[in-house]
Amino acid sequence: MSAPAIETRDLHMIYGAGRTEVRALDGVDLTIDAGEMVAIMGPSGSGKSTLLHIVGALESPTSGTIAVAGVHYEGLDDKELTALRRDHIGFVFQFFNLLPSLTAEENVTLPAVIARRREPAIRERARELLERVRLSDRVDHLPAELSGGQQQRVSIARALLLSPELVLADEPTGNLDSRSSREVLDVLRELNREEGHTIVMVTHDAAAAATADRVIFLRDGKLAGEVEGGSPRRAAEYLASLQSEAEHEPVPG
Amino acid sequence: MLRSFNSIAFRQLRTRPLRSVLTAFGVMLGVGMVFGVLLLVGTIRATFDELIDSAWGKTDLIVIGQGSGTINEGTLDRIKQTKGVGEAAGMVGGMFTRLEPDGSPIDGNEGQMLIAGYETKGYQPYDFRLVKGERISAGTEIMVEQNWARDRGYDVGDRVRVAGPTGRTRLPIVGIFRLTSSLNAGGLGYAAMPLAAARRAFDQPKGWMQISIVAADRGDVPAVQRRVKHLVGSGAMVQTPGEFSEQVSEQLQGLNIVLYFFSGVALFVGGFLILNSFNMTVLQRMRELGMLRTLGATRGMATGSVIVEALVIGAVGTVLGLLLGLAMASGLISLMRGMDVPVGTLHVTTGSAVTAVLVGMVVTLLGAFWPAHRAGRTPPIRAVVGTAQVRRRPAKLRLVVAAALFLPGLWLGGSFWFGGSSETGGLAAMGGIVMTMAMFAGMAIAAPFVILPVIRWISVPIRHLLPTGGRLAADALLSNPLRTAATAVALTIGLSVVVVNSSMSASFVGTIEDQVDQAFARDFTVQAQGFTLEQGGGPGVPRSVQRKIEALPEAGTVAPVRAMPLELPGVKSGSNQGIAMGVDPVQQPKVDGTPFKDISQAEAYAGLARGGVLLGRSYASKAGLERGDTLDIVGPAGRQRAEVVGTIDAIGPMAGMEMRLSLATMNKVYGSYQPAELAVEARSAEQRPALESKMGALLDREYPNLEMQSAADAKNEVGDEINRTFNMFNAIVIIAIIVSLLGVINTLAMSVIERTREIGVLRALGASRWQVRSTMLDESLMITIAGSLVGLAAGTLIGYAWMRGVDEVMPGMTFHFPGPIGIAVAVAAVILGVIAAILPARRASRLKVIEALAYE
Repeated sequence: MSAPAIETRDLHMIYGAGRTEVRALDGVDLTIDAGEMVAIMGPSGSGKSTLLHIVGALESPTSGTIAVAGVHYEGLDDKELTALRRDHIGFVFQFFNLLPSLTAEENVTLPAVIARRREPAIRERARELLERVRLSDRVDHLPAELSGGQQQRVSIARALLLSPELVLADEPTGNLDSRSSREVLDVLRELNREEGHTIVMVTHDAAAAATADRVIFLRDGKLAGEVEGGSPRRAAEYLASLQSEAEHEPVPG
Repeated sequence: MLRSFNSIAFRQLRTRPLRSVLTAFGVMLGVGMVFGVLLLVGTIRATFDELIDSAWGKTDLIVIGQGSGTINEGTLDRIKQTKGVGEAAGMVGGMFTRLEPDGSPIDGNEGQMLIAGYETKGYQPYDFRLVKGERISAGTEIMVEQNWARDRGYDVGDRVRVAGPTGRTRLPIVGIFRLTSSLNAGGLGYAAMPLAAARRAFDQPKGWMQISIVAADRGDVPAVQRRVKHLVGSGAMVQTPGEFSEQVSEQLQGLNIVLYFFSGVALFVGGFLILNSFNMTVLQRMRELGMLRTLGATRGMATGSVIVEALVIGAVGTVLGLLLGLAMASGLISLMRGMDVPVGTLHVTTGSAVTAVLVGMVVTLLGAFWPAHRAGRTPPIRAVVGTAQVRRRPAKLRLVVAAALFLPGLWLGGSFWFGGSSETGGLAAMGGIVMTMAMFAGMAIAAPFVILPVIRWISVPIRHLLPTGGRLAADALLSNPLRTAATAVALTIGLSVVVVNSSMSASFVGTIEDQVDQAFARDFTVQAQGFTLEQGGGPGVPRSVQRKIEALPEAGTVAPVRAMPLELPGVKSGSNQGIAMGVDPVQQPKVDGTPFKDISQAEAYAGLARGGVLLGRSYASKAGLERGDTLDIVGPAGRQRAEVVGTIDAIGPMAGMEMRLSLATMNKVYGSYQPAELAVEARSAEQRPALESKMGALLDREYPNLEMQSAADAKNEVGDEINRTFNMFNAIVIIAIIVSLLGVINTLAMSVIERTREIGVLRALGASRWQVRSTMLDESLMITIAGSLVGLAAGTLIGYAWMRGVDEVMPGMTFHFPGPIGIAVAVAAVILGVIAAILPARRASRLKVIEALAYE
């Protein structure tokens, strides 16, 4: 059996020091299997974004270990981390982060351009991905000519271009209306099922979270249980219970 | 499909057209300046080389009397007998003024003709190539230069109406010769006349102005040069045409260095524009750069993308700059022709183009280096946290570095520029430039510490006057201290250069005017039109004029003054270029109130009458001479051991590089030549108007190439001369100021982008478009006012400090604040700055409220 897609052990992340110290992650042990689609939920300041950033090698934890597809991050330098992101991880952001001067297709091919891969197959792959995210008629449009949902679908296609094992999505629907959100989530679900990408998505939208196989909850930097995916109501109730408990104590930033 | 990562940079430029265009424009102006100046300098040099080559192509050696002193009559024969000399011929020169058909003189250089007189049989001193008619052979017939003749419609067979040292005459043109293809000496015409007639017409019965030599064996020239040098002694220079050309260009080097310096300032300010512009680009692209990093772009790729952008902008700006430089050089050349500097047609060399291109690209890359470095260090996390920027406080170390760079230039810049500028030729001046540039760099580094407090201070009244807009504008500026400072400091530097420049010219003019009042204790000066004492008075004033004025009943004193540019003997350090002034020890004290150090006027002039010399202050200190010392003076006509009678306690001509002696001594040592000017004093104040009209009539009738000046005219002329030179420099600096204002547009545009959401909130809360617009205008107002105020202050400080340096060389110099010019430029900069804000302000006011609110 292959290594889990993500495995963290006793992950700690502390910002600041002394009186301004914030424990964003406080001992997180998490295992996500390859091919899973997982949503992470939690109240504001629960550490869900921090966890995603650490998994995506955007930040280094204060202590603890993390391995993605069996590769440990500890001791990797900037160059190696850059290569790791490029070859194994795809990112989808809340603000789509498309380059405004490039067409949809060019934005999708960007990871290949960065990796200096110029084979014709890349272009085919980009077309295919744009078709999968239902944008085959928008290939030559600039981001400014696309709706928010369409832009996000371009960015999903971009994240998948080099077929990374892991796709990390940070509030992918946070900036979209409900219809566009639905479209984006359907696309993610479909890609997970058909291409087998592991997808980890941070969200505070219960409907979005319910698309996943399971929903993991965080509170105060600690794992606070999980529910199976499929039911937005269950996810929303669980989150509400966490939030009402949290009201008794101040939540850091 | 994108071909490479770097090709993204090209696309990115399109998304920021305004900034890209502004930045390229800044590069263009800087490169244009540098290229223009290089072309100008190259053209001047080429003109002289060409001129010398076409006049003396066959000549191996040229003998020229020191200054414009004449060479003894017998020297030519002795040279001819010198071993190794093949042939030798002498020439005399005379300046004539052309006349209109009605007999009135044609003013300025346009009316001047320089006529060379030489023996027309056998070897001739010049290689004039005849293109039409025949060579001169007898009488007052002349040959004229081709281009000049064509432009003024003269042809063979015409007669040129002129007035010369011996009155009016008509000179028949028998031939036309070719000098160079391109010469234009500001209208000055060159002509040749047979020797015998020339001697009479020029009133120069004896002596030579120049002697041309051809060696018997070309390979033997250095040996012949040594022998002839030995023969003529130190009173004359013996040079090859190449050396002569070299010497002329050295004299122009001072001007060149100053021109290089000012174009350097423009480039420096341009560098700031580039730095700012790319800093903004990187700041704005933080999220984008972070995203590229998450996609696997390395640091090098991120840095590279900014560098590629810079290269594109630099290349476009540089190409346009080359065109601008061509235009500017043509403009400067016609300007210089207007200032009577002989310059040929534009001379473009690959070398100057390559230099300008290199300079443009290097400055662009230097400007983009730091922002590019920052781009590379953008952490990928920026892709999620966006552009939220850390507000950095300027570190204290900055202040130390700034002071270390600023103070040496402030302290010593003046001595380098004015005192040492000719010390070891270009080297000291280059040192001065480096120091001055370091000083500006220091100003730039210190800017946050100086400019921000000023902005805070200005913002107080603005906050009161414009409660919403003013407050928002002030907060925006202060929240980004480094950028605000970098924007304002470009203007500060430009303005301070204007102020330093103008304070120098104001101080020169002011101080010299004070001294002119003393030295010109006379009613009128008669001199050759278009010449100054520093030029030896050109053709001078014929002796007959003196006799005729003396004969007027209203004339009291008529004092002749001879002037001769000279390499002063005994100078131990620095340039020995100076002037010898021959005066009449009896008449001079009556028309010249110049004070002497420690001795009375009577003693001083008595000493001159005994064969002594009086020294200017700079000369005395450079030669280490004091009262009572002796000095050997040697000229083409003889030598004399002269006692130093005293020093002159005023600046005087050539900034104190003066040696004053009696006319008798001067004639004995340097040969006889007519005076450069006559100082005339009326018998009484009542008779002055009558004297003026009688002298005026005399000159108009018989000596149209002479002019008469009152003391007030003389003062104005000195002032005009100085102002004209400095104004040319100011014109160049103004370009630097324009570049700095482009930076203001840039910063404001950035401010609009950064505060899009804030502007949306304002509009949602009911702020009118005008209120939003006025916020931007207020920002511009504060930046330009702060930049200008600090510029005025810094310029005054530097001007004052540098004046100390000048004082070492030209004692008695006092600082004059250039109020009107400094303030006018500052006000203009503020007004232009507000105009510059219009574009970004419009953009801000037109933001759609909903979109602005949604902007992250």
